[in-house]
Order: sequence, then C-alpha cells, then structure tokens
Amino acid sequence: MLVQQLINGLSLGAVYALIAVGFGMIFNVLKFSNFAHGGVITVTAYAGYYVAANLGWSFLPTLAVAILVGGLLAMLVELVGFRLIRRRGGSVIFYFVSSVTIGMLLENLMVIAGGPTFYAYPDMLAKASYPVLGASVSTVNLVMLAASTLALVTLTWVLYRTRTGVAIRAISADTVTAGLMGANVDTLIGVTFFVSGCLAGMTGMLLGMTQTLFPQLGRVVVKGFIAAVIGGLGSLGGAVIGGIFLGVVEVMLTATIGSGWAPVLLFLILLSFLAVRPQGIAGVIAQEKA
Amino acid sequence: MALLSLEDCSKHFDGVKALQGVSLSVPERSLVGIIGPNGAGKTTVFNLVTGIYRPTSGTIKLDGKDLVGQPPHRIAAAGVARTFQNIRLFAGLSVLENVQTACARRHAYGFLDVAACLPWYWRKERTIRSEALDLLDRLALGELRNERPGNLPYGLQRRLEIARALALRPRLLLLDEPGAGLNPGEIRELIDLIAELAEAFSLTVVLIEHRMEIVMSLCRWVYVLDFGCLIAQGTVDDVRRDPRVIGAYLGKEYADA
Repeated sequence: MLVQQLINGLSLGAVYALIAVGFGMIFNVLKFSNFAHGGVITVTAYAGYYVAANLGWSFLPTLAVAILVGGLLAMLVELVGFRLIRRRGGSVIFYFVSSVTIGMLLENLMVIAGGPTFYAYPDMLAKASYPVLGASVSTVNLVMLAASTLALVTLTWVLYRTRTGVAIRAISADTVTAGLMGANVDTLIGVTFFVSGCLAGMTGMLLGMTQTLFPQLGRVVVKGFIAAVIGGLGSLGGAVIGGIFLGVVEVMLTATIGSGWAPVLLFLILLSFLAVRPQGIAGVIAQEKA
Repeated sequence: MALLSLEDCSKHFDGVKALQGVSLSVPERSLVGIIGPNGAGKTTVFNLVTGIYRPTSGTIKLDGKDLVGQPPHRIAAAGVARTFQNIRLFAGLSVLENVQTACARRHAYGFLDVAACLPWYWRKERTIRSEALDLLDRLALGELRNERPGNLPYGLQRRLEIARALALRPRLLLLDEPGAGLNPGEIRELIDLIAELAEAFSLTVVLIEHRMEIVMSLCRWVYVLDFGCLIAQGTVDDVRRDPRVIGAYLGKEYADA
C-alpha cells in the first residue's frame, strides 16, 4: 500500500515538476509568472482528447499531437501576448496581467468548444495496471512517471549541452548582453516558449488521462507554481524537487487525512516555506533585471 | 576609408540630451580613444553603435552600411563586439560557456535544426567548443574554463569579457573602460594585451578610458566628449593642451570637491 502511494505520489509529482519546469523556463527568461501556461495545458488536453476519442488514435501519436499543439500554441501566446510588451520594455506587471488574461481566454475558448461538460479519455493503454514490488500501480501513473522523467532529462541535456541551451541560459542571465553577443533574442525566446508549451502539452494530456477533462483543468498550474516556489523560483532543478515533493506530500496527505483537508495543509506548507525559506529548497531567487 | 562613422548623432531621453550632434570617424585598423568626464555620453556612443538605443537623429555606418534600426544581434553579426563598463558576464554560465555564447552566431541555427537535432547541429557543437577553448587558451584563461565568472578575480573577469567579445570575430571592438578597477601591473598587461590582440585579429578598436596611461600608450587619435557634445579631437598631445578639455576636467574636479 505504501509502495503504491509512493509511486502514485511520484507520478503526480513528476507532472507537477513538468508544470513547474515549463513555468520556470519562462520565469527565467522574462522574469514573470506565466499563468497562460494553464490555458495551454487545457487546450492540449482537449486536443489530445479530440484525436484519441474522435479519430481513434493510439497513445503515442496522441501524445505527439498534444506536445506539438502545446508548443505551437505557446509560441502564438508569446507572439500575441508578450512580444509587443517586450519591444516596448514594459514592466513585469504587464506580462503578468497579459498571461492571466490569455489563460482565461483559452479556458473559455474550451468552454465554447466542448461545453462545460466533463469528458473521459478513452482507454489507450493495453493494461490498466502493473504489479510493482507487490503493489498494483496503474499504468497511467507509470507512464506519467516515465514520460515526465524522460522529458526533464532531455531538457536538462539540451540546456547544458547544446549551444541553443547555453544561449537560452545566457538570455536568462542577461537578455541585452546576449543580444550583443549575437544571440537572436526573438528566436530564442520563441524556442523557449515552444519547449515550455511542449511540456504543457505532455502535462495536459497526462492530466486529462488520469483525471477527467474539463475546461478548468489548467488551473492545476497553481500547483506547479507552488512547486516552483518551494523548489526555488528560477532554478529548474529546484522546480523538479519541489514538484516531486509536492506530489508525494499531496498523495500521502490525501490517503491519510482525506481530499478535503489535504489542499488546506498543502497551502499551509507553502505559506510556511514563504515565511521560513522564501528562496526555496534550491536557495536562489532570480532577481528582477536592473 | 573609415570603418565606423557617426554623423551628427543625437540621443535624447525625454528631456535629457545625452548626445548632441556628435560626428566621429574611425579608420580601419586604428585604435581610437573616447575620453571625457562622467556623464559625458561616452557609453551612449557605444549603446548607439551596438543597437541598444536608436539615435534620435543622425547616421551610423559600419564600412558604409547603415546600422541604425538594426537589432543588436545583426550588428554583432556585422562585426561589432563590445565589453562593458560594469562587467556583464553571464552569471549562471561557466567561463567556457560565456565564450561559447558569442561563438554561436557564426554557426547559424534555425528553429528546425534544434527541433530535429540534425547531424550538422552536433558537428557545429564541437566546432564551437574547440573555438571557444582556443580563445580561452590564447588569453591564458584555459585552465579556468569550468569556473563561474563570479569566482574569478576582477582583472580576469575583464579579460574574459574581451575573450567573449573576440569570439564574435569582430572587425570593430568597443572597449568600455577596460582598465577600470585594475592595479598598475594589470594596466600594463592590459595595454600589451590590447595591442597584441588588435594586431593578431586585425581589429579596429575604440576604447573609452579615464586612465590617460592607457589612452596615451594605445590611441593615435582621441575624441573628447563633455555634456553630450564633442569638444575636441586630435592626438593625445593636442587634446591635453586644449583649454576646453582642461576646463571640462578641472570643472568636474571642482564640482567633486
């Protein structure tokens, strides 16, 4: 039973980590909290549902569609919502308001597209559950854990081993200087949004599969935000740690004190983190640019 | 033929006139100095040339091609590199990665290359690394390649900024107070280094400097700015005797006292 809860917690935590990292990448580059990320998650969950339920596609192609839709949509969001603000050197609060607005816009578009009804993804995995160390763990949770881990490992590798990754990190450190050193800032910010959107696509589809599908699904982005803060805003490693921590604690709390009290305690944990260790586990706070 | 020429350049920030009708001409392969009291608009000249600001009026040309309105990364690609008065190295990146960022632009990549992980992408990756390592070795920073820039002594940080700028393979190198914060020994090293690099990389160098020792050793021609206006130009000896230059510096000293 404990093993099962632990794996469920790790799986949920892996998804929170995906959200926190997708969220954190944008925070690193543009220094604001991108709540449009939740809207992108919702849209990709619906897109995945559409090809899976209406076109009968299997798991991997559906995941590919969700990832691609997420990536492209996030680039569009950047173009429409943030590029002009960036050109004019607008303050961080404009980005923030723009991102919340776009998040709500996307959510409501899904209400129009699918109605306020709940949907359930068709069964796309051959077996419903697998035995792991004597416990029976649902396949979706195992897939969630594996897919998230793979995505995060790949991302880390790209960021630390390719020139594109190095350039994105350079932009995170100092956008102006990165431009002066020849980095095409517009393209690279586009790439960053694409990657962040791909992570949102994975998140959306995996959440749609484990939970039911409804227009407010993307509000889970708040959990990712909490994970990012617990881990330390601006640190991708911290975001992963924060996500896993949050997922495991949430599942354990839900199992012991029930789903009513679990969120209450989670938010109390966040508050105590903010009070005691606002720099998060990783201990760095990305400063606003001077 | 001038490599860099500014004609009648002005830059106004709301009411503040940071530069007023400044013209200057930098011949190919020359070393030119810009001096002047604090707030004279020296760094603004660099910011206009590198595309951080757009001039309110006037033209800026590199080898006859207009730079006004071009984004910074295009200007960098056209052959302009710079360092900064307050060191601006990328904090989260290693010494090697700092130099790699500037190597990258000569190995152009498109969005698809990245998404598809095409084979030439990895080949370029290795080229960039070896180019960056060569530059670090040349500037005697090779052994520090895995350090964070923040852990380096100040003088080496300045040198790393020069290495990063050189990684762009520029024709024109803009050095913003390269001697600031260095001790006399480091100043002498810096003078030799700049002269040597200018020769080895066929560079045209414009440097902003307060230390007259550096300007006198390196620059054949000097421009003097004060309150956003060009008040004198000439050889180092000429401008040192110019009463307006003396006035500008003395006036500042009195104001400080």
